[in-house]
Amino acid sequence: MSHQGNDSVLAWNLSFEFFKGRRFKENLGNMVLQILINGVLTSGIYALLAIGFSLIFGVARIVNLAHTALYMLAAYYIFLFGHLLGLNILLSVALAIFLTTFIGMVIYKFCIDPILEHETSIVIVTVSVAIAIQEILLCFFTGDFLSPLPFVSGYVEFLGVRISAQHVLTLVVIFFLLLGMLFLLFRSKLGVSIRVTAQDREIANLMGINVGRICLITMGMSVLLAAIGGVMIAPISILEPHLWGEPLVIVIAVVVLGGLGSIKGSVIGAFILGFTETLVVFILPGGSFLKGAIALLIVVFILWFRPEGLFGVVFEEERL
Amino acid sequence: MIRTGRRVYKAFQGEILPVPWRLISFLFAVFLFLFPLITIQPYVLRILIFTCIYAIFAVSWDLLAGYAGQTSLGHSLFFGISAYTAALLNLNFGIKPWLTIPCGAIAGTVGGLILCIPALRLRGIYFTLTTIAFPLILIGVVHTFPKVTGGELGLYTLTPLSSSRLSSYYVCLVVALASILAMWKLSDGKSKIVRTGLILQAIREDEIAARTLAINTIAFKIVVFSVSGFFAGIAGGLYAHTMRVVGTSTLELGNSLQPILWTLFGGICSIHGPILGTVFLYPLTEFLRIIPKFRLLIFALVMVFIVLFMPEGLGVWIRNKLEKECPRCKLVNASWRRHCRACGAPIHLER
Amino acid sequence: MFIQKKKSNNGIVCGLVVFLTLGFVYGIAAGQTYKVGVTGPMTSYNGVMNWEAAVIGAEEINKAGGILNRKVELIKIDTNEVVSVTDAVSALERAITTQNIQAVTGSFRSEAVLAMQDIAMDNKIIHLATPAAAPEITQRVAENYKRYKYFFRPSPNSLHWVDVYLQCAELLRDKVQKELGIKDAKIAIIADKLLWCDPIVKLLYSRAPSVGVTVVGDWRVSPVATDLTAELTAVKASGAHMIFAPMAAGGGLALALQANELKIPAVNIGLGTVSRLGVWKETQGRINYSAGMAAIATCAATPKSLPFWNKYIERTGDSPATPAATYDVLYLLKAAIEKANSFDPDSIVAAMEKIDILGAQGRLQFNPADHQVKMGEGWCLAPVVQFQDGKLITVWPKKYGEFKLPPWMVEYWKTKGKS
Repeated sequence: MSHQGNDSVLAWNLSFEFFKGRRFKENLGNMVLQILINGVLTSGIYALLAIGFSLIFGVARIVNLAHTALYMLAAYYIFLFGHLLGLNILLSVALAIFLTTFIGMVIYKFCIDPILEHETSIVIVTVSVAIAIQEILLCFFTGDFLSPLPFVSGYVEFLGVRISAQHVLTLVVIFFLLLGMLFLLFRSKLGVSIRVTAQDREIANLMGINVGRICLITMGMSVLLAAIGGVMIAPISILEPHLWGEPLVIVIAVVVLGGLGSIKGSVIGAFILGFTETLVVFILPGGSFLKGAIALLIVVFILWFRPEGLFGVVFEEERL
Repeated sequence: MIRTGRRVYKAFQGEILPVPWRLISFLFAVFLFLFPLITIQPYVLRILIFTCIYAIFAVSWDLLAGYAGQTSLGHSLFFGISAYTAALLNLNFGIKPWLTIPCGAIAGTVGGLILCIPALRLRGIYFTLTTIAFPLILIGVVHTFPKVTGGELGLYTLTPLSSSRLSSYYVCLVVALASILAMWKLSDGKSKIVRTGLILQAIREDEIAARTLAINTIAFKIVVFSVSGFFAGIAGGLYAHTMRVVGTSTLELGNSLQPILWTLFGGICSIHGPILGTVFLYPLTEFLRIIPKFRLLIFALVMVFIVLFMPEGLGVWIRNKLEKECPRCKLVNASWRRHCRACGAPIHLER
Repeated sequence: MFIQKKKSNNGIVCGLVVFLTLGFVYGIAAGQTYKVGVTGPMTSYNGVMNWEAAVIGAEEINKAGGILNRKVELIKIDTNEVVSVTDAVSALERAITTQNIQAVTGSFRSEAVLAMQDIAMDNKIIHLATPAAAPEITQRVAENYKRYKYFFRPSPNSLHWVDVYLQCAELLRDKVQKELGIKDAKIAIIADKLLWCDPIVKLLYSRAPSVGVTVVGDWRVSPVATDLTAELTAVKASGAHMIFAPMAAGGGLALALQANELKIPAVNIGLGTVSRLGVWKETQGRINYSAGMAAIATCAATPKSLPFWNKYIERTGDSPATPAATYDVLYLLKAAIEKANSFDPDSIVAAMEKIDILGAQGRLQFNPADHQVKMGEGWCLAPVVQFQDGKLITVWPKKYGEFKLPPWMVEYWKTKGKS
């Protein structure tokens, strides 16, 4: 077999190796399991990021492009407190989340609130804020790649597939967060207010809901989710000040796919795109760099048939 | 000959001289033509050349966003497609810049038509967010065929625009002025020659109402995207032959954000706005090179500042201070005048 | 988009106007110094190393009297090349036209170097870019000698890394057979999906059998990928004993960290990211047993190597990696100028082609055809280093040290039996 460096050919050959072997069922089962587990990992992380983004858009029509920048900020805080200053894990987590949420709210109060009506302006302001955060971090931490300590080290072997313990912890946290969000949104009075505001602002106002306050609370929740995401993912990721760009594109893809304003849509969109990525990595290792592009292609494709996304909430005046 | 000269002079006297902002713009254009008398240092000329290129780019974005209401965050698609096309034609077939750039511009138009597809299906923020996808998909394509596109190294050793920096400067300047003039005429609501501007404003304000007036909004949208893509393509082609290296940086998100920032700084939905923004901000990012650590930070903070406190942009703010529309005949006058120069009505009603 | 706020913004406008009329600062008086520009992304360790190593070289040369009685003056040029190639080109042109540099060195991003090369050649500036490793850069010299002759590359190119990888494969093949009883050593490749990696992957496939090892697969990841769990799981399933990882960006660090975390039973050899001492402290030792390539002066290749190593650590607290080749560049310039006895660019070029000196990287001599420095044992060296319990041991060339297999790897293969 002459390898001309053609990665796809090799990928197919490798896949055939799996199928030709004597332990055919074991190899296939192994690969399916790997795809499943890694897929869930990737999707979970995307879901966590997407929910916050989708929430604030649904409720207040704010496209917060600084969402991933805040997630990056929280990650850097963990590095600062946990790694550089050596503080206790729980303390650094709490500090990181608190500080990031606080900064997020400050940004909301001074940069977003005054121009709530102008969607395009908000896009520009949030992007500029994201760049500002990037530059400030660049000044303090330089552009080098950093890696904070994991909260739990080691790995877990699950049916022959190795996952780092930190990944497992992240998944558990995401799971409980999702449960918590569902509970909040569907069983509490606050949740009802939020959902009503998301569906129709004018009616919400008429019903006596303080829309401004709801927006504030939702923004807080959104930033909190971003902060928790940053804190959990920091230890399994390499930090550098430009890292907010790529997740932003993926989050936007997930949210647009699932439908802006729909939590359910964000989660499902996250799983679709997460599994697409994992499939590409395993079935086409030579093409694993394309996972971003393929994900975006899927998004464009689905939007052609269903412009508001899979579960999107569309306001009357936005309908074509 | 004399008659046209007379007509031009009359137009100048009537339309440009008495209107302060237009006069300043005109004088600035003249200044740019005479600039080499001050210095012909290649570095300074390079800054001005890039300012011209990016000014075309910014105005083409404003055409789409300000006039047609389609805010796109993927404008680098046109720029990149055109730059790569020009570069490929130049490297593989040895075609000279004066032909590759129009070909690149046509490729940009194709890009415009590609972007048109989601535009017809999606509205508002969905469209904006989807536009981010296209340049990134193209980056994936570039990396998939690295032997053709040069992968991350890009395409290099392109022929320069012209033999000397000075002549390149004049070429860019002339092309920039011509492009901007063309875009202005196409988008100006008050133009009596081309009605596109007025129709575009109608579509932007209320598309459904425009449809009831039997305006084919779809056709106009296609036209706007094509024109915007064409001129952004011209900017891309000029860039290719000035930089002489074309890489994936032409397609990145940062490249899409630049014209947006400049346009918002200068004033959206105006032609002079993006030009002002580019002329102020691009040399500023170069000038700030002396404090490299805080360069981008200052830039970002200035942007936030402008959007919060001068959302209509610096250009429009200055223009509103300098000019005032006559309430009776809608002619533009200098704001320090008390009576309109055409109908004599008092301009400032508050006094 | 129009807000009817009636705040007085006059002050702001005035401020902006004042700010913008401050004007450009042009040039410093030329003076009687020899100006060398050092380019690089000064916000990351790549650029910092370019600069610090050059400073050490310049200080030594100036203390010894300078070059032909002129002191060397270094000009720092922050190219921001990681983010923007346009910035890099502008920065270089500014330095050339307003600060009158006569030579330039530095930069690791090949795309940026290709763009900067044209500017340098236009102005007949001696250009010694390092550590940018794309072979295309020196290919231009070979194809168009007349125009690009002012360019020299004083450090190895990426094709040389294939040779080094294969020699490491040989060493590891023997080690794996001796310690684990495995006769058919396997290699997995995890590489960036970038053009410069393609020839490396291709050559590894075609030449591995000649060294008695097989490549079982290659995984090409996005250059911005930071989570390689999926790829590592697949690599483990493929049964590889060594992982060659030519990755330039954060991927290299991610690989080392995650391979350790998941205790993948293979030796991983990356590139420059893992070859600095500072990484041990920054990751608190979580990259134990990871190897990296293309370090500088980690062994006594020449009498200059270890003194430079120590001086660099003393000055910055970190060990020198590939960007520190700028130290050698200053000595190359000195030697060439003194040989030509002139500062004229064409004479310097002619002299540089005949040069044969000892630098911190090894013996430096250029190919007259493409101006690439000769590479390998006995010439410019790109040693391979491995972290072994806090110490950075040079494991190739083998006369300086030995690879150590991670304990979990030994345990895994011994209990697994013949694979």
